[in-house]
Amino acid sequence: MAPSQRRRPGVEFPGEVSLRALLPTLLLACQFSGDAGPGPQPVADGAPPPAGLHRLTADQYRAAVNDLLGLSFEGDLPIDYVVYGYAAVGGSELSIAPLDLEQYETAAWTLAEAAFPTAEAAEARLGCAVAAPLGAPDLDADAAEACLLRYLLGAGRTAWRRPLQDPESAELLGVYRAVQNSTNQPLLGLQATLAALLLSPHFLFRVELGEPLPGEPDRRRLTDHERAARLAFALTGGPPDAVLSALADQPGALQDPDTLRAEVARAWATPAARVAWLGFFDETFELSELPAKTKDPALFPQWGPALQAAMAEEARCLFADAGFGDGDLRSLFTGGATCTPPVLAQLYGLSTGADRGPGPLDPALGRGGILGRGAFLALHGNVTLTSPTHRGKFIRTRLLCGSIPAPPPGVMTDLESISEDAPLRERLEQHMEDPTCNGCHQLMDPIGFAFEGFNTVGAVQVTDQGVPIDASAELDGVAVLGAAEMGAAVAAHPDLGPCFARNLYRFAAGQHEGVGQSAALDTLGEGWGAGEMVLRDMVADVVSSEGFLTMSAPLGDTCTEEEAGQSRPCETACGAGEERCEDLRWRGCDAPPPGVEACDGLDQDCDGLVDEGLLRASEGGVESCTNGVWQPTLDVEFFETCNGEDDDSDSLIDEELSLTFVALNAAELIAAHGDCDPARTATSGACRAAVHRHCAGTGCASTGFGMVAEDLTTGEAAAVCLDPSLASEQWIAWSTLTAAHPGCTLSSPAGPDCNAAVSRTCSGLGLGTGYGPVEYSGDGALVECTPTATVYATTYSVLATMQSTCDGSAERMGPRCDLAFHDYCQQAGHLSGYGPLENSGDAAYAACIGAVGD
Amino acid sequence: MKRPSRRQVLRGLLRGAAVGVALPTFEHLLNSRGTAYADETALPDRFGLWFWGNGVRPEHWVPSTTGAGFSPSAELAPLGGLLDYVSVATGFEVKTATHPHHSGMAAILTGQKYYQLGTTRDTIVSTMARQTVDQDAADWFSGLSPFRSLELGVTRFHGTDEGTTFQHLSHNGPNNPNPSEYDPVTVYRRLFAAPSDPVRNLARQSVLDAVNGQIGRLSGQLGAADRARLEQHTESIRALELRLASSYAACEPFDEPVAAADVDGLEQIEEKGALMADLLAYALACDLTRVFSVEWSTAGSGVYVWQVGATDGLHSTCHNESMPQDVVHAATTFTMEQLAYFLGRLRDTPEGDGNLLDRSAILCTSELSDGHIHSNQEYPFLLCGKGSGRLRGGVHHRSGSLESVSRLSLTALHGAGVELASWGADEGYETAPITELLA
Repeated sequence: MAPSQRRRPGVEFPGEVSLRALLPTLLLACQFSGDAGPGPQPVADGAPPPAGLHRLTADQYRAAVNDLLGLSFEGDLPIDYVVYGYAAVGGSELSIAPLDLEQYETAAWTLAEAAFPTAEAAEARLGCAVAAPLGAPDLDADAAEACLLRYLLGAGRTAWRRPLQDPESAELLGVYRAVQNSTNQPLLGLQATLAALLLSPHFLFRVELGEPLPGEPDRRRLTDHERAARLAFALTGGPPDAVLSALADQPGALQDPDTLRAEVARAWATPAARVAWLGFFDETFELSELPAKTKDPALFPQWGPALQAAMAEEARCLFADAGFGDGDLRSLFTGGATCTPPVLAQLYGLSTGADRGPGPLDPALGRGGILGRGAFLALHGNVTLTSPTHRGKFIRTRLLCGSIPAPPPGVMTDLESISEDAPLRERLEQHMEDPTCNGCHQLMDPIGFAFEGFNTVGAVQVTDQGVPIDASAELDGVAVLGAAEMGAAVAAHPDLGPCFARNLYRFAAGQHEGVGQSAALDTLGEGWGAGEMVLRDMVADVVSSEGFLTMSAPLGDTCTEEEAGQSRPCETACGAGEERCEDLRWRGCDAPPPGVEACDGLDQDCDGLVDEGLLRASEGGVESCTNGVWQPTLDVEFFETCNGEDDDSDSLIDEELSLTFVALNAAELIAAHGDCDPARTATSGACRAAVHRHCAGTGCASTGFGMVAEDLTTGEAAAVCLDPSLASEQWIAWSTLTAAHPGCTLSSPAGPDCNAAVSRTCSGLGLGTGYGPVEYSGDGALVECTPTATVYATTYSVLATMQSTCDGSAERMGPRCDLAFHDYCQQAGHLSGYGPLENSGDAAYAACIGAVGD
Repeated sequence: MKRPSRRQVLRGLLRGAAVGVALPTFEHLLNSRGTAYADETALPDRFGLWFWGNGVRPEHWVPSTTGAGFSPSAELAPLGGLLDYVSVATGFEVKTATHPHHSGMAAILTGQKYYQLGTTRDTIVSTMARQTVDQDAADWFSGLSPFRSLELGVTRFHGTDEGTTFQHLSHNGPNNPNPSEYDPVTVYRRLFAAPSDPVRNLARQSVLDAVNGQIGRLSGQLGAADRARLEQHTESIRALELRLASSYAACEPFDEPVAAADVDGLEQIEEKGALMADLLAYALACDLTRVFSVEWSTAGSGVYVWQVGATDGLHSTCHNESMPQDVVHAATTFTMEQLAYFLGRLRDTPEGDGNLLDRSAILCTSELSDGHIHSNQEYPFLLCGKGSGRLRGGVHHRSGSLESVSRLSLTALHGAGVELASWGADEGYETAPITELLA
């Protein structure tokens, strides 16, 4: 095609590039034979990629959070970046932009609040208390911090996938203290420490710094904990489980190749591994793009979410069949599994029923494996027409790892010289004749022609513009006819194995293999191709390889050409050495690098201190390390709560819960007694019954009074529940009560008069004082006498200093006074109390129960 | 400087209806001329990017007359009603052209060549070598508004696996993009979320402080590339900390928008663009940011412009449609209609004695000119807005000597008051803005 035919009619643009002048450049760009692109450069040392940070993908984040907290996070997370085909590789390259940080921060706090919504829930999760329940006296600060520290050491170990190092636990405790000091809300402080754990780079990234590899100053190997994390995320898409974590905690265990392989085999067998490796397949075959593909609605009305889902389902089924058993992965391309859902079978022209029997797709359909099925065909097709170029390009670049440069700027890329009425194949074949195009297109189009028998939604097409389809095709010298034969040719191609090796490596390691590892992976892949390609074994080979378990030392500062080959001194905390300038970087510092301090009587980090700052959580609290030995340092108090479990591990369940604080909201009060108006808890008989019934319903108490404290932000209030050791239930006839105070009758069963009547009646029974009625009928009423309570004479003037409206005139008995009597009793060193028992003028009598320390 | 808080009530319908903006408090804060705050602080300047992929049909793009009062070409006709806010510059080219799509992205946004990832593949996987022009403006306006910049996206096609230059517009550095937000509900919640609890904010600050400490310690143990990644992490934390510490008043929000779903399997492009335009207008009126970018479509976008009768994605159409490429031309015109709506929305939002468009300088461009041949010459470029009086508007400047596109970006920055002495590097280095476009 002479250049003059390419001159466009119309406006002449200054500086239009002459195609003739460009020709040498074009030919150079596309000049390579079918089997060698700009392939692996020979590198002497086979260096693995450098050590560094790998950001968790969104799915990995969710798995990690679920593992740590048992919560499933549904909110927004930063999008994953696909680089070199895999989101995991993007994670090793990209930064955390302001938007990303906002999303992580919101997520961290949402999770922290969901994990610790109230003091009770926090206590249940921690097993000890950091914040007192609503109404209960404030906890001793040291006890609270001991509990928190123990939690941080355990949760931190899980969240960061390694034990916390000094001063990390101290810093996290510092977050709690800072929040406590400025807000006096220990629950908020607890939430803040969890948020700090989740926002830390140690959680968001797989931090891989490595440890020295003996004799190789330019390399490092993954530490025990880093191995466990890398393996777990690669194999299961989530953090290490309990077994793998325990192995990681045993120094050197995971450095042993047999132990490692055993762990790989164990992980591969888990359901999580299935999910994770279907993800590998999804990414490799770009299945997530299916919903974004547009097809002409007039020509293809069946294109839509249902068909797309069916295509994805079929594709995943084929992969599971080829990849998760003992069979050869290459059956993915040759077909054989039964995987086609009915709506897709219809598209293929099969009636659902007899044709879709228990066997594989009829070979006469000519589809073969994955490359002849809807997902691949539709993903690589345009809105109305197929795209042999794209179908060929996918196979060439994604499955065979070939390389195809882009056309240089200024080149005409249309097919204008052939009329649009010609079949697509004929128009594309012009690419192959034109020397400016064929260097690159001959790598793609001849492959893609094999699929012309299927249109852009993957249904059969027998003609194109009236001309019968020609599905003859060629893959690097192998002639085929149709999709099934092309699938077989791809399966037999020598580059398939090496390309899988690279793709597996990128997905599993979460980084590009770099020039250094290309040769090693090619060798690995060629070995597979020559033998069996069982995915389980392929993955095990990759994750056991040096390129996966070792890293190049991080690249240091740059140096100049003039400095190349020179050495300069370098030093670390543990000594001095020399580094040299090579390839524009200072590298190979042979000073001994500081290690991580371990509890072994040695100073690994060369700071002159032995085993310093090492803490870990234990059953009973916190242990610290002294000269190689773990010893208990802080004991944590485990509080029994009314939950049917032995929380404090003393073989007794729900014991000694004689007085507990229970938070309830308006709905719960009304549920306990329908006539209770939560605004009138103190003066309403129905509400007294509601509290009494609610407490009795916990199973650890027989009665209760309230409300003694309130949380205005949550709308909850606290009641005090008592068991029979503190409250003696008595049935008293109305006549007796009325005799004790004439104002206490069936028609007026709740009020100051009945308060006095009950108190006097209990006293007359030798049971001190009491409260009620808590239930009543026509004959009499149920009251609760509290013989262990201490009675105090106080005044409304004093009570008004605790709750300003309990001043004797605005209120003498009521919701505010309930709070006031409770506060008064706590100030007197008790746990809680109620009143007024008797009152007159400014005088009021209080009954206080329990002592702090009970 | 202490900024008065601005509580505004913004009424009106989304998507097309003129918005009535009641600003009683705001007017109270202005000086008697309505040109500045009562404490004589000038009203804000804004810098924006508005980007579409796959270029234009140059023969229908370049206007036939030059200078002030030029007559719009066929593809610029939709901007006819806004011409005094729109200037055109033609005849410029990319001086670092080696790749069809990546070169233009890198040239117009960073003034230099792209950064290529790795050496085991061809040139296709690329990222920006430094921060993009919008972040140059964000540096200049740093600290003046709660959000350093806002990035919005419209059409769904999200770019192929060829590196961040194909997927994103705004970058802070290599492999360090600011992702565009495509969901209007997410944008709404991020910008107009309910004011947060000051006690809780104290706790949030404590957490962020602790995390910064962890990052600092970790940084020391990493290689240079990872240290740079963590620097960005720290910057992002700092931005959030500043916002938590500031007492900026949230705008009283209108109702949460509903994302525009496909109808009959077709992307509702106009609806989506209009929603984003409306959200951005509110955000600017509430001074939530001074810098924004709208990625209407990505470089090499496969957006399906069914509205003009396309039968394929736009990128494929650019390559497969025979000349004169009527569909490509119609799609470009359609794109300019969307830009016209966007600019109109800013013009129709009053501010002081003028409107938002008066105080903006918006760089509107693509990653190449003729998508058919991937030409990096005759580069499409519009400079929209009056830049608070710095921009003339309504001018067609034609370069007679194939000058560098870097001059276009430098001029846009000057239009927003970002007085950088030079822009770009190596072959893309320029020091002189285009004075014909400036007042």
